[in-house]
Amino acid sequence: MSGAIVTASSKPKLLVDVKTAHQVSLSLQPKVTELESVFGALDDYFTSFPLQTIKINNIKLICEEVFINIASHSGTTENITLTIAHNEDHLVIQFDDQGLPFDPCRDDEKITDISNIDDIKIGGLGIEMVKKMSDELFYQRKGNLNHFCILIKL
Amino acid sequence: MSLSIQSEYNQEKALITFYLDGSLDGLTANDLDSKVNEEVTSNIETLVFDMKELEYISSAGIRSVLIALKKMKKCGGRVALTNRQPQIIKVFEIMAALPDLKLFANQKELDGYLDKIQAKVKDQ
Repeated sequence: MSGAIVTASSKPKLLVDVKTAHQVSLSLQPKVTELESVFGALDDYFTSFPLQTIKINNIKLICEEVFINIASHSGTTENITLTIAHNEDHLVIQFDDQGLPFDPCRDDEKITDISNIDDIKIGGLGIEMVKKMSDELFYQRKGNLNHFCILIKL
Repeated sequence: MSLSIQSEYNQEKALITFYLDGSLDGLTANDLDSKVNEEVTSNIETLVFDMKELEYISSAGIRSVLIALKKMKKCGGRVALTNRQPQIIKVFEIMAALPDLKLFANQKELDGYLDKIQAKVKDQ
């Protein structure tokens, strides 16, 4: 089932502990079409947690860029878990996947110049946007799992 | 998140305008690429993306704009963006260097720019 809510007993541990009961996890097939489920889950989440539209827009962007990258380029055939959590100061978004090791926080992944559009790498633009729109990024590789956590100050 | 694309061709100005309504994201960017491939012919000198009703754009959307720019540059043409909403402007600003894209706050600014170009061509 696409976009299935992860049950409480199997919710992933966040790299950043925001000490909150407001946490939702979603299990997504590694397909670009699952982006609909990502947006749907975010719309549901922000129904009970109203934020400024521009902040919600940024969060949607971050989630799209990371999810599309993982679904398109990680090589995983297993479901990707998206977790969203918040407290009064921070919102945390975490992606867990079983794809190839990939640390988006590394500087050598950076696109430094998009003026030559022949050199734009698929996914490179997206990671740059995530870096610039987030306050902090965390990455951990544990066993065969990538854990990528994005922190946004509210 | 969906995207509606209306196109308008101005033969006199050799210009085509795509009016984008909704979301230009990983699910809809291919639709825009197809539309540009189908409708932008070699006699068009200016391709305009009117973004007045565009609520959301991601890197997939920006890539579509840049791919359209590449197509137009090959034939000596240009791409212009008009009426961007603040959140759309912000995304383009985050991407920093925007090569060769003409940016206009509204249709009036675009018309003024195109009139100057046409006047230059007539003087030559």
